[in-house]
Amino acid sequence: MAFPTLDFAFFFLVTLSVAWSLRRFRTAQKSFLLLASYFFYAQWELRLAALLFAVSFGNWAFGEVWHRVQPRWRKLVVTTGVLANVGLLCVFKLYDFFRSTVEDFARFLGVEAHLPILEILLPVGISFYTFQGIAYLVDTHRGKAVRPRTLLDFLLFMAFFPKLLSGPICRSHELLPQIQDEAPKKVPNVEEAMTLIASGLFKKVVLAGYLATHMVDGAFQLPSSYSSIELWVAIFAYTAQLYLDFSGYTDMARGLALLLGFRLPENFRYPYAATNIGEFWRRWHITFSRWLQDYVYFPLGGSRAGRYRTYFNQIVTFAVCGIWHGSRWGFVIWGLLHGLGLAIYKFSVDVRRDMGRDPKHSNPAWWWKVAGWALTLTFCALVRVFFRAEDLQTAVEVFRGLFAFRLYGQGLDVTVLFVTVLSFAIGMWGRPIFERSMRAFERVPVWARPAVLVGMGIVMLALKPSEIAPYIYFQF
Amino acid sequence: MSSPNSSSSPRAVIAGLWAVALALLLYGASDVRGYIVGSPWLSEQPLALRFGDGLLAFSERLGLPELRDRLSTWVALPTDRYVVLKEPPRPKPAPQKVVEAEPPTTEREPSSDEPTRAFTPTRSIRSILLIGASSIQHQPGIELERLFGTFYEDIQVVRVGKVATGLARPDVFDWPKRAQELVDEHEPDLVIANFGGNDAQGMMRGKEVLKFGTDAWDEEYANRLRSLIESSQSRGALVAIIGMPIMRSAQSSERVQHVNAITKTTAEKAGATYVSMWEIAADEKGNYREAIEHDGKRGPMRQSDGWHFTRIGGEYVAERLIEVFERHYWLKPADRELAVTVPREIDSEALGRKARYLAYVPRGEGSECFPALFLLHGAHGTWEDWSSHAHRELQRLAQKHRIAIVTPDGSEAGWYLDSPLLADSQYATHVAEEVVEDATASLPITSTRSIGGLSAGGHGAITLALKNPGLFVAASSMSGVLDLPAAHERKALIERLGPYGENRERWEHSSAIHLIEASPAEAKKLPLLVTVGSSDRWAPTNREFHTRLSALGVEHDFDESEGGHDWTYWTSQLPRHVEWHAAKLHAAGRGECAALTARR
Repeated sequence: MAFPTLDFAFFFLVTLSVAWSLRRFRTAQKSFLLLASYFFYAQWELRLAALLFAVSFGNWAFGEVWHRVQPRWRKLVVTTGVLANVGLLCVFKLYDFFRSTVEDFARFLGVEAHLPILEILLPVGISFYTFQGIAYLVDTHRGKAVRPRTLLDFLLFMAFFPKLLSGPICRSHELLPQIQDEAPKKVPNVEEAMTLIASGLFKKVVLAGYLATHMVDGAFQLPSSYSSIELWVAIFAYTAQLYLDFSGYTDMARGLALLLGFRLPENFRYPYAATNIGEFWRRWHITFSRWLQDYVYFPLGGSRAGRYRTYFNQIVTFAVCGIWHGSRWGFVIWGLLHGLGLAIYKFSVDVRRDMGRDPKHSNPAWWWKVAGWALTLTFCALVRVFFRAEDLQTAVEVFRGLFAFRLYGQGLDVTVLFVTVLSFAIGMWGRPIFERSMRAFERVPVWARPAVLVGMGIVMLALKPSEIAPYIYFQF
Repeated sequence: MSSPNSSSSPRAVIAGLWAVALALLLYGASDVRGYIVGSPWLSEQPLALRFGDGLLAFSERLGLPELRDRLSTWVALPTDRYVVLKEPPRPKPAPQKVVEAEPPTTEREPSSDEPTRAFTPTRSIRSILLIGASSIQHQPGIELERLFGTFYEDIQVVRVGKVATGLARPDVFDWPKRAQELVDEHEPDLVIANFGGNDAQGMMRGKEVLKFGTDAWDEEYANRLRSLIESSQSRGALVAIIGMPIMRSAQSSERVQHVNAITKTTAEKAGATYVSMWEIAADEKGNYREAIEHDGKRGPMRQSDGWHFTRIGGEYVAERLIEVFERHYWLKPADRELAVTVPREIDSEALGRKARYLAYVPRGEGSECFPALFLLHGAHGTWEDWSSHAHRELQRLAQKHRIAIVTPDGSEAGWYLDSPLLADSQYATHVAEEVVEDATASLPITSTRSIGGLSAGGHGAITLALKNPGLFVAASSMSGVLDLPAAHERKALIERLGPYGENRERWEHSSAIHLIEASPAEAKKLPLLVTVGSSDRWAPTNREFHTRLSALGVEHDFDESEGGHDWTYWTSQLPRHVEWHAAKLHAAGRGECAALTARR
């Protein structure tokens, strides 16, 4: 059940109604939410629910063992737990990558190797909840985690359905206390919740869907039949689509969670307003980049081991980021390029600091900021080609087309250009738009609000493209 | 963030949300009903169906569907309305003919119960419209578009695929209407369509619900498909329908096979060509294939859903599909080392039906004509056999040796003889007279010919050469059934010649070895090549043949090598046989080029 579907809407309304009616019986309410979450997950496949339970229970068990065992064994416990999570993730995600890489290498050496092709179904959401488990275990070891009072609390922490499939990746201190607290008696922040859901639907269903079906999918399928200008528009359209898709999903997840009485952390903070690549990663997929920082970058030494070691750490961290996204060389290259970009940026910062100019406290001219913004955006758009292209061959075709001065293709649809620009505007100035919409909704009297929502629903139904664009981040 | 004291009573919030949901449900009632009818589980629940009907009825009473239609014209994003930098349309080239002086094909008025003529053999394809659902929007549609655009000379392709659409739900997407629009806009020479993947579900005919698997469903689906084909044919385009492939799930495969069966009959009745994707996607045993090797790479053929093709799967399927298209339409490869495949059709009097054959015609200079090798298939085969197994090889060999190769129709049981018992089984006449005449009159080939074949075709080649002295300058056989009486238990032969015991003379009059023994002088004038695989059950017969020929002093080339009675052996023997024939044909000197002399 993807979010913007009939089934899910019905499921959510029922869950919402029952959950609130149980608000005086917190344990029953939590158990119901847990059941609903597993039911939601089992819609993909029953075995997935078993897997989720196994991962949740396993992480909880490791946590409990850590608390009960003598201090000298604790490091071993944590390491085993983390490796178990990582190992599970690797088996599901990387087997085919491993198989094809080994076969290609063997063929290169002149040997025919045939490893079995296993049809391993990639469980949707696994990358997210295993990472959440790793965060919990490492935080426990560092003394920063909140210890769950009961298994039920932890299971719900892992399985809570609004964030189950594509995050945000929650730390224990962000979500567990809310679960362990008393149930709220009233629905907090309804206006914020509804604005989030409406914003998410609009961004994902109307805008992202439009860009995907009218420009991006076609251009990445057969790049050789598009002109150079069209391809440039296409890569920016994809950059916009990815943001709208993912942030739209996150908005909906946060809005739905809020309606249920839970506040999930932010995942996006208007990333296309960033004027440099470092800032970009502080605004894009925030819970994930924080995770990388805390559990990969800092353990490697972060920025404390000298300049060149810092660059190395950044590159390695982003290689991990790439490979987390999937078993394709395209993702690894994308990650490495971002790591390289960050290292170069850091290098430029260090150089300027050496020259006596501290970038953090300087106030650069407006044109310097614009140049930085344009460069960051173009860099992201170009590197995203590797992210989106199905394989390296297609990526090469896209790049060839971009720089080929090819005049004619399918024809450039001006509406696509308009929607792309609109999307970037939202990506940059979305906050004031969001706040204003929320205030406007607050001003509407309570009895008239359903009518407003129905109106918005009608407009969105009219605007949505007839094709269904598949949700990008489900494949992770 | 919203004001800190903002919190609402849960009852109000939940009631409000349910009210919104109900209002939107009413507004989108036709979508909801369509969803219920289309869902395999819900469509079985009478309560769900009644709910859907009731909802739609109530929604109509409130006038909501009209409101929705009007709103969607106002509010929609103006897609495709402002398109800049479009390529100026290329002028459509004049239709081509294979040979300038080709006699016009007889145009007769089709009678009402006869299938309309699907096949116009000499019309070149310059523009193709590809339409369908996810198999066209993704794989193998992408690769088909790429191949049509790059593998062939000068073809424009327009591809329009829409995931999750089909013919069952015109409320979601009306394909016959869209096909008409596309045909009017692009005026293609050939429309290739693929549907059926999303159609194995309940359909709505007006208000009536038709369940999948019923006769009413079959009839309605056939009607819709026919309407789509007629829309596509409205501007003179040829139409080909690709069937659905085998799926991993046995249940899906069954459902899709049912749809394929209806598609095939409807397509052929409406004058379209049905192209099967089933065998291409399956393995040699006819089962679902997991892995595929293509172009030096190996990978899964389908995505994890066991349904859609991966890129490598799409590449493989598309390459096999274009070979099939070359059997039905005149498509010229851009690679000049490949001969051009020309499909032809004759009104055969000897067979009492229309008969097809393929000709692999090399590219020549100006009015150059080529000698021709007539290559026969075996029993249980068709005119498509050689192409199904060695299409590109035949193109390469024909061009390399500069001879035309013609593969006629010997049918599954024709045995290349004129049967005195079955009036419509006159295959000797068909091949030696009708096909030879038609090919010589309409293709750039000379009157210098040779003949060869495999298995029953190998036998047929030698007998036809012997029975028509002077018609063929050489004959060859691979794995030939060279002693017809040795196959006396074959039902097909018994039906055509009568039981062996009572009709010895008749059998021997049609048997290669007996014909040679009857007139060795004639046989000595005919160069012969006979090859067989040592594990072939007909190997002893071939060896016997070789011994008898040597004893009679008939010069011939004989070769026995490793192999059996299978296509691995035949495809490995093909280059050798073609080279042998080419040598004999070119040595026989230039013959008359009939098609061009007809001009004078």
